[in-house]
Amino acid sequence: MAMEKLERFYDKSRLPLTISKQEARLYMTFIYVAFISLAIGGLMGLLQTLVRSGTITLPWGIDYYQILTLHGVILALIMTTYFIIGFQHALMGKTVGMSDKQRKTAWIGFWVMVLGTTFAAITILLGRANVLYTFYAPLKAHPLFYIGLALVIIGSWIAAFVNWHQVYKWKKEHPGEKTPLLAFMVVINMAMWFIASLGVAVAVLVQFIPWSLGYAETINVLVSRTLFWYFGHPLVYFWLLPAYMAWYAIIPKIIGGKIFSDSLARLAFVLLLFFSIPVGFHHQLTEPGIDPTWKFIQVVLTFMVVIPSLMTAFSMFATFEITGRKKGFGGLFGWLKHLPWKDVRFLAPFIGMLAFIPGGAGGIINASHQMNAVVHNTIWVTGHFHITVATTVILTFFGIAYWLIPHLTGRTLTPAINRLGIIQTIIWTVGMTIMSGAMHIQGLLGGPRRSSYSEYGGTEQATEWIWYQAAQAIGGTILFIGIILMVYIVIKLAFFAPKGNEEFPIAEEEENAEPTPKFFDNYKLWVAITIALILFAYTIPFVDIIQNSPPGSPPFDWPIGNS
Amino acid sequence: MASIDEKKKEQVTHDEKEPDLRGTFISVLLVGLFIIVSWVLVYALFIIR
Amino acid sequence: MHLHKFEKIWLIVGIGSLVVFLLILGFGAFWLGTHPQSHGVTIDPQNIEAHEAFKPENLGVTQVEEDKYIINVVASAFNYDFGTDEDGAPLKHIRIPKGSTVLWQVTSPDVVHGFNVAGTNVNMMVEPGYISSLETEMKSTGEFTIVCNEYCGTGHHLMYATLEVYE
Repeated sequence: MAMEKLERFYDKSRLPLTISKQEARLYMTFIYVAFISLAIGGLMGLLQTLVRSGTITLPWGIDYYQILTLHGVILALIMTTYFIIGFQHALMGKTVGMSDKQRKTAWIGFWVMVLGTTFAAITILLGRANVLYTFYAPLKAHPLFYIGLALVIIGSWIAAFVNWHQVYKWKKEHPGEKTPLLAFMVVINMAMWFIASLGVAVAVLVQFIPWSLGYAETINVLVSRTLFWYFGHPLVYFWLLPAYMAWYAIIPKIIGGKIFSDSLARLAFVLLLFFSIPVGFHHQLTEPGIDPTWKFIQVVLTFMVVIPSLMTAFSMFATFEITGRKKGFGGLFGWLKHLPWKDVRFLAPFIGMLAFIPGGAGGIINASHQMNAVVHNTIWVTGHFHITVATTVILTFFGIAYWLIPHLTGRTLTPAINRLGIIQTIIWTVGMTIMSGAMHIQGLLGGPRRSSYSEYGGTEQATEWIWYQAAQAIGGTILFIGIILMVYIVIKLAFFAPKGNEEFPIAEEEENAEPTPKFFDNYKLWVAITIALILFAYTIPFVDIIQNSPPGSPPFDWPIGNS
Repeated sequence: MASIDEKKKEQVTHDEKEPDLRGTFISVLLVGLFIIVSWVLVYALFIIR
Repeated sequence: MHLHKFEKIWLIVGIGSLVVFLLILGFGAFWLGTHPQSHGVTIDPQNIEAHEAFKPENLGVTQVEEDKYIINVVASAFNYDFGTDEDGAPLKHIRIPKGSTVLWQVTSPDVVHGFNVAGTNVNMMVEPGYISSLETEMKSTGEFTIVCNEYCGTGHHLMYATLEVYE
């Protein structure tokens, strides 16, 4: 016990570290790219809702599916990945430190990603890659599109290697100590990302690139889809986990409290690592070539990944209640009053948390095996990921940006910017409630996702859908105002806010907190269990898919106007 | 008497260890209720269609 | 690791609900046979007409029994082929009496498509190389829009047909 206390004492005196100017430049560069992507992607989103509601038609021969591809790629793949890597690098720099060598390697990762992003962007802008961000075979985009995506993923791996090396080095210098919570979380998230993105990397490098270049005549469609969704579900957890990092280890500090439980936070992350990956079939439930028993097994595994989120819900409420009670707010819900509602660093992520309640419920519905037929590929699904990634995750990222950007640029979050931030949060909430709500309802009525304006021959159903599409355009317009405001806030915080020291909030444990068991730092064990679960969930059905493959598919470029 | 006192004491120390989380408990149960109701509604839709 | 007693109850309630969901789904899927479509029947996408069901004369609605129908469809960019009417014009509107059982069989000679009879549980991915099939009872009357709900190219939103279920 005494030793434990002593260790913790040193912990506190050492943490957090100071971020050097060069490091800050690295972290900020990632974040700049993220917000530029947000502005472009947001504009595309606005245009989509306007086209689909029949309000406008696109000029200059621009295709709806071209802007849809751009929207998906730039927001789901580029904006998220850049923000996450920038944020995670900053967390690592703050908790375990980043050496000059590591920083230089991280820059290589950044430039590889930029190169890949540029390649993909060129093909999309030239209209040679209208394949959406899922690029389902046998639609054939320009080879450079796939090469670009591969480079983005390889660049992100370099970031992962840097993060792991940072912890490896820190642990060598601090033998016997537990990895700082945030660094632990980053290691877990990057482990998940690396294992998951191997799947899509194999699909792109082995299947898509040779096939699109003409070296392979045909492609195995179901194998490519299975590899994609092996990656596609953990991809959404790769977005969510950084939000959880902020919820578990940063929000408590902002509200003036302590971490509810260091061990439970680590346990949640370990469970998320285990169960994020062996679940891809729940995106393929209505596909003809996969054994239904294995679909059901992966549905069961998908439900397992709900458990760490149930734990997270409890931890969040508990953090709020304990903090409130300590400040003397009694009663059943008195603690709600103490929460810093006027602090945007709290408000934005808090609304993100609330959005995850319908988001999580919708996710369970989507993954419910045969029930998936009600919602599959309807616009309900689009509504679902707009309240999850585009509200829960993004509002948390905004909440992070309000303090991270000024901290890195040596400026401060002024009361005026804070007020703008609160307005931004409200605009976002209203816009998304309208848009995502309309999408959910229209989806239950059967309205399809990923479709341009169509009257579908004037059926009664299609006439009903159009009203919801109009509501989506209203919501989309409000959201776009929110994006303009957010970009303004980011520019203000990065270049014009008054100089000063903005706090990098990292929450601490209670003085008398229960010590975290040492076994949590056993990364090799966690990775081994993850791989075992993946092998269990995928080996038999994957062999089955390959053994019972139909003849492969030649490339089709004309349907997307790429001939 | 003594035993009651002891019990009380036990409870006090117990309360110190376990923070008062009644509000949290009710909140998460409401979350659970929301999940169940949403799921049942869509399941009903699946059945009647 | 210490769990607060309320957290233990919460996790039991939460995990218990998930287990109940799974039991309901599993019972439906394994005992009542309501699995999502997954037959794994393959076909050569470059030669779908070699398969009996997708010969031009067998497309569209075929009545097999008093209240049993088979509907064969070829989904291609950007069209659903339900065969032709008496005049040789392509069928875009099909009719089925209420309460009949329909076996849907759909395949694609080109890219991936969706096949959704909007507002019903007939919702399938259609992939080249596989026959998607699902048997359902058409329970309610009305006009249903059949939409392609998986992106298949720049004319994706123009790929539709209608189904009328009559009394």
